[in-house]
Parts: sequence; structure tokens; C-alpha cells
Amino acid sequence: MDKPHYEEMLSNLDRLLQNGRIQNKKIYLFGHCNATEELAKLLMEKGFSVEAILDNNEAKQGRRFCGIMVQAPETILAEAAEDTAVCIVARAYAEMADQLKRLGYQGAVYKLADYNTYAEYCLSKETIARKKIRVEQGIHLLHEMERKYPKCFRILCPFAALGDVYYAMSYLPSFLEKRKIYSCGFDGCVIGVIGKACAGVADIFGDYQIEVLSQEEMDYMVQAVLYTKDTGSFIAHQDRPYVINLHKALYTKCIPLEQIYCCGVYGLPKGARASMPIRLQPYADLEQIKEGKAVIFSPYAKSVTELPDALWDEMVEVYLNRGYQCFTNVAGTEKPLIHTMPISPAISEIQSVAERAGTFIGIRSGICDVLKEAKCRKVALYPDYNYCDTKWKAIDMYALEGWENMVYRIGELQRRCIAVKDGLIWKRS
Amino acid sequence: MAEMERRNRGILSIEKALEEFDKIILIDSRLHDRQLTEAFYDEDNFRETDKRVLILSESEEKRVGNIEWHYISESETREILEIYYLYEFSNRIAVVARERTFGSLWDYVAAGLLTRKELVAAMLA
Repeated sequence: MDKPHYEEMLSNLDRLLQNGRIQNKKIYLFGHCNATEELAKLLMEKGFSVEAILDNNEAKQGRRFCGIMVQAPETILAEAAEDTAVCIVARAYAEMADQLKRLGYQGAVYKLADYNTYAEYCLSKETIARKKIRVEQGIHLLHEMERKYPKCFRILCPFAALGDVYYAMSYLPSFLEKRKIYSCGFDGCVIGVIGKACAGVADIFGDYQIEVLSQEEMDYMVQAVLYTKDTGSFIAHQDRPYVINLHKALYTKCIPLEQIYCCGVYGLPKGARASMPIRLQPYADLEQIKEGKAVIFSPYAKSVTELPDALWDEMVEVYLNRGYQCFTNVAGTEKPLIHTMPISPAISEIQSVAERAGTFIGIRSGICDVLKEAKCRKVALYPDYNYCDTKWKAIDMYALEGWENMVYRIGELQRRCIAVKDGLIWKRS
Repeated sequence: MAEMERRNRGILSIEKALEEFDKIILIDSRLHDRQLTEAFYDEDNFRETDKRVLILSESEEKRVGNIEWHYISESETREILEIYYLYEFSNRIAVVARERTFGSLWDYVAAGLLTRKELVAAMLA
């Protein structure tokens, strides 16, 4: 969960507590995801117990998180509504609140963080008027962007995920060619992204203009693009905003993420050419890394369930005992794993770091996409979770060719894919 | 008053439909792509859903089990689509249209990743 949303959740929870809204209530959370897990932990730290986590995904129902059972949403109806409160910090708040209402639930439902400024399930004149003001703000931002980057086709990446931006950039040249953008009066392309890290990913693909936006600015601009059918812009994402329905195919078919971008987002044929990054740089302090005798660990990912510390500690111990240097790739306030050294290469430099070290082991995240073509041993670890509310596992969607893709289940490390090369394998005693 | 009723008729009809149906599919009348729209008139493509589904289009009305096809005028369609692209007012409405500003399920059909029957199933999900 990113910092701004975490702080928003904290602030909203404190307000609920000050107003006495959830004390003496059975607290339910809706939507089992990383953010909900953070909220559950926060509530428990404050001395509250969570009755259950409601989730529509049958594959998740019956499981526990920190002792909290995941249950079908209907189960809340067994309780007296006035004795319960539902807290939602998941993205689909409006959808979930609507579902509870249609189930007949009459208790309180609280939104703890606003991930989705597009949604408000109401057709009142006031709501429509407010949304029109929002669109006008978006139109203004689009005009500003047009003034700043005249005759530039706009590609908007509406979500701050490195992997999404990676694939959006990778298939962009083929898309621009297909659409004959440069024959339509455009001289160039400007990429709108959220945050510096995403800008770093966009930058490694070549000579594009890049504009860093806040989430709010991006949401307003994207809505304006939809409303005005702006032919000078394209929204390059697989499920945001709400009008994009590509993810619905995943309820029946497994389509890996890269193919989603190639065929779904950009409408390219299967096998369309993917471009590779061309603006990679060597890390300035490469000589501090023992060539071929070091490991870069990458244990952090924004929206993925963490892997247990014990797993990372065990791997670090094995490699240290074999004389390897161990580094942890960290950004911001992230802490290095115990007995490892922190390293913080820029996005453009991380491939040089991994190749110098010889081994990269990371939780499956956008950093793995950035390192897709790195020439070293590459291990991607997958927590055992389903992709959104589909029946597919994360490894089904995100497995990378040329990598060792492994699913971690509690109590074991299960190898799912390519055989491990000769080298180090860690074993549980 | 009559003018206000005409102006808001699209919103009123969609509000009513959201109360009665689990899913609403609106076919944009400007979409001249029979290959795409045909799939939504084929009753066989709806056999596996137990949802109450309403398909709004300019075609003839019919009802088969829990699926209903209703006529909607061009002006009502425009009114609903204006709000649809203004914000997300429901997750139970899906629009069949070709837009150049974002990708869609139709592109999967074109790439051979989905059949038209699977397209309908995905829209109903």
C-alpha cells in the first residue's frame, strides 16, 4: 500500500474511532487484498478484533489471514446489522458498498481510503454536476499538457505500477506504427505517468517526453479523455479506468500480462514486436559488487503480499555461507535484509547491478519486468495468491520466460517452472 | 416539464433498469460492426448465465428466460453514454462500442484470443 493511501487510511480510521463508530461493533473488512491486510493489522494493533474478511473470490474463502477467516459477503447477514460495521479500504469500494446494499445489508459501511475517484454509485443531479466540474478540471489539464508538448500524442499510464508501465512502453512503438500516429499530424509522443519510479521505467525506452503527474491529475485527465473522446490521447492500461474491460476475459481464460498489453491494450496481433529498453546505464559503484559472486535480493513490492522474513533470512544465510556478497535493493524507507548491504540503483542502472552480481532473487514485482532481459540468474518468487478475483494464480499471469519462477506456499518452496541451473539451491531442514 | 422528462429519460431508464436487472449491456447505435453486435442478439450466448440481463439497443425487443432485449432510442443512448463517460455510476453496466482511446475485449476477439461467445460471457462477468 503506498504511503499517501496508508496515511489516508490511518486518518480515516482515527476519525471513526474519535466518533465512536466502530467501538462495540463486530468489524468486518471487505475485499482481501494487500491494503485490507494492512488495515487488519492496524486494527489489531489498536486492540480491535476483526470478525472476518468478506470476499467474493471462492478460492480465498475459508482461508485465514492472521487468524481472520475470509468469508463470502452474504455471511454478514447472519448478524444484526446494528451490531456490525464494514470497513473497506479496497479499490472497489463503490462496487462493494453496492453489493452489500443489494444483499440487504443495512449496517454501516465505511470507506477508509479513496483509491477510485472515478466511481460514485449515484445518479443524482448533484453527483452529475460535481463530476462535470471534475471533467472540466481534467480538460484544463489536458490543454495545459498540449501547450507544454505541442503536436505530441499523449500516452497516459493511469496506474503507478512499474510492470504496467514497462509493457505499455514495450509495445508502444508497434502501436504508434499501427495507428500511423506520426502521419496524423503528431511530431512526437509524451508519456504521462504517476511518480518518479514509473518515469524511470518510461525513460529507459528511448527518446520520449515524460510528464510526471499526481494520481489525482491523472484521474482527472483520463476522465476528460473519455468524456471528450480526445483523439490526441490514449489510455494505456489493462483495467483502469472502469470503461476498460480487458480483465473480464480473465474470468474464463488465462491471458498473461504481456499478452494483455500487446493484444488487449494496444490491439496488436499476437507476436507483435516488443521493444527493449535502450537507455540503460551502468551503476556508478559497480566495483563494490563482486562480479559473479553476489546476490541482489528484492523483497519489496507495493501491492503484493509479503513473503515471510524467515524465507529471505534463510536464503541470505545460505549465500553468505558460500562466500557470496548479499545486497538488498531498497528504495525510500525500505530496510535491507539482515546481514545484507543496501543498494539503490536507478531504474536505468539496475540491470547492470544484477548482471555484475550474477544472481537476482526477487518477489515478483515490476522490478522483475525491468530486469526481464538481464543476463544473469534470475529468480522470481510468487506468494501463493490469485490474480485479483480470478481463478488464476499470480504465477499463471506473471511468469517470466528465462526466469526461475517459484511459488512460495507456507511451509514449502514449490518449484513451478524451469529447472534451476547448477548453482545454489536453498533447502529447508 | 415535458422537456425535462425527455432530457432525463435516459437517466431515468437506466436507474430503473439498475433496480430490476443484475447486468445491463448497452449497444451503441453508432457501432456499425455486425460481427460484434450479432453476438449480443444470439440467445445461445446467454445460456450459461443465471443473471437477469438487459440488453439495450435499437433492435427488436424479445425475452428469453432471464434475458431481455429492450429498445432504446438514439437520444436516450446518447444521454446514458454521456454519463457513462463522465464517471462510473455503476459496475453493472457494460457498453458495446469501439473507442480509439483505450483497448477493449473486442481486440481480444480480433487477435483470436477470445471467441464471440467468450466475449459475451466476459461482458456478463
